[in-house]
Amino acid sequence: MGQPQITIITGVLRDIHHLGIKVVGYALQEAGFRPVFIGARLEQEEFIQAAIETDAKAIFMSSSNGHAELDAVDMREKCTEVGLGNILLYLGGNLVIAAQEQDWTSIEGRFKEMGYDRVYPPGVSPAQVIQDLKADLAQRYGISEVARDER
Amino acid sequence: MKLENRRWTDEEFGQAFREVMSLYPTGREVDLDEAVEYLRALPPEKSVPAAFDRAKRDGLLLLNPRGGVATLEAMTQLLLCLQNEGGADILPVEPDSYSRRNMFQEAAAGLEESQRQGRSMLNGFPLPIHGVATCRRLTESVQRPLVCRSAAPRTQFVNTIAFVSGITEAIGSATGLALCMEYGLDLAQAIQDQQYTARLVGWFQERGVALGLDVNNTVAAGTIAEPSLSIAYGVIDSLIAAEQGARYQSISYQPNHHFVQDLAGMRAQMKLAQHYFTKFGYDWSGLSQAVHQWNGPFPRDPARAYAIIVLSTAIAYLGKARRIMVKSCEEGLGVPTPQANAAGVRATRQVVDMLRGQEFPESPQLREEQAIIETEGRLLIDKVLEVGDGDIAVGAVRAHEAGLIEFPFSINKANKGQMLLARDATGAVRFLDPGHLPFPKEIRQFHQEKLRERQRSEGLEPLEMLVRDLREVRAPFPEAKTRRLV
Repeated sequence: MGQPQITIITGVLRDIHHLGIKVVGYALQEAGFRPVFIGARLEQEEFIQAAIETDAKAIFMSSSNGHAELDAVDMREKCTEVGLGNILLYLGGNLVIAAQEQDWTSIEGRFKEMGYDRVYPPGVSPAQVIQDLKADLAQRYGISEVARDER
Repeated sequence: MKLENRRWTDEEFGQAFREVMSLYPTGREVDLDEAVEYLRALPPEKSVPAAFDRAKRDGLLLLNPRGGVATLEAMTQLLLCLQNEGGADILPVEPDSYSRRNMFQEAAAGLEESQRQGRSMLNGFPLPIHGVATCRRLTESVQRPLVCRSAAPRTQFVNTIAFVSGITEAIGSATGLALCMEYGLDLAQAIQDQQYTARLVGWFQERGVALGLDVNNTVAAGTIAEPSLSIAYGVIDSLIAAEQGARYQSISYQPNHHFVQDLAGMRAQMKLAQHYFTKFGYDWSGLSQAVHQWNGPFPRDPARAYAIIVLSTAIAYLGKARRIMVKSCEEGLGVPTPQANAAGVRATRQVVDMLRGQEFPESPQLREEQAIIETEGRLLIDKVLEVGDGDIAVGAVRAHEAGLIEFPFSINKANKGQMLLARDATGAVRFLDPGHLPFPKEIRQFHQEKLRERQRSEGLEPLEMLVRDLREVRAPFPEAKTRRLV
């Protein structure tokens, strides 16, 4: 083993739909990261606690019941309060009610304003997420290399 | 109690029964000896086991829609609509999510609110809140057998109320429901909870009352499932129920809507179920097979939804299933109306009538596919038995810990989560990554080669194929996507 693996916390925020985040977790593992899936029907605090315990560099939250505009607020502020101000926050899923009647850039903008670094709709390519993560890790933490996949 | 696959003693069952019935006041109304008399006096047309016996004798496919609303009046109307306007063979009583999860205060509040507002605020009929007398009024108002569709892992209370009220079948799946529905529920606990319902069925069977158990192992949280997984979970869960004396069991097969693979899988499932029942000395004459119309995401467009219903029905009929769980053309829009559910039953009946007398022809492809599926199924079940030192229940817990068997895309933390599936170029479901499943190199290579064919033709990365397969029953060919009108 070369450099230590980079831990990413993944889970479902106050919801049960977990297929998307499971696929992303698999892609993270393939790409050499250490994804830690912490479950479903979770509160924001549980993600933050897990990130502290594992020294994670990013939190990936999934929400597909349309309640993210209620459930995902204040996450960035809560992270900052406990000293995780720099942590990467990714959010994905069916985030709002009646998404089909709304413009994606407007949805994305709302969540970016809340402090999320990346926001994804259902069906995003896992490869895109990995590419974004590598770019963000380099920019925020100066991490340019991820441990090789040994499988 | 230590987890073991052995029949509960009368003392163990009696104690569990008293504990379960103390969970809510309506439990005090339950008198099992009185229920034996009540159920013995039911006319045969109200018996799910009798319906299956007839279906097997006459080669019928029983049509079983879904549905549940909060109040007695609305639920009675719903069932009469499914019976009279749909022509359903088995009628559903779906309990609401609170009643399935023993959240009785919430269910009671939901029922009260439904009565006040004059519309259902619950997604099902709260049998525990209504109690035995009211539930009997419901079952006595229809002329078809009923099933309590309590698709959740901890349903001892609601299932007991259902049986005592004249509902002659309930859902019970030792491992499948916990793996499908719950993140934190311990697998050993889940198996014991389901042993209760199976033992209750066995207890009635010993007193001359035949009740059915729907081993609802559809190995899908709304996803695709490689057939050997449908088979393995079906066999594991039905063996555990058989040990408790449940004779009439309906095993579910999860179709992927690929004729050759599904028909091969359905045959292999019944063949292996009979093999393992015989091996352990259980009577398999009460086993029958059910197919669920597509369990994954439905299109919002009713025309496309109907197309899925039709294809599911053709596979169920040609595969010689004895029951089909019917959906509606409104499935993609939300909870369907009673009329939409009745229309789904009529569409299904139309397909059945048109296929009457037809057989799917034998072919080398069918035989080859069945041989592979059977081999995989045996490897999975034998491995579970091996790590359980011959005890299928103990083996199920240990095999999940080691990832030697996996429920596709399970939410439960007991599931290892290393295994991935995807469709090949023809739509058959293959292992994208078999994880730690006990498969030899040749089987792994077979699946890889099938998926490479699709990769070559569609030009997609493996995980992109998977994402497409999770979002639609069958995604259109990538190039054709831009040409689609909708």
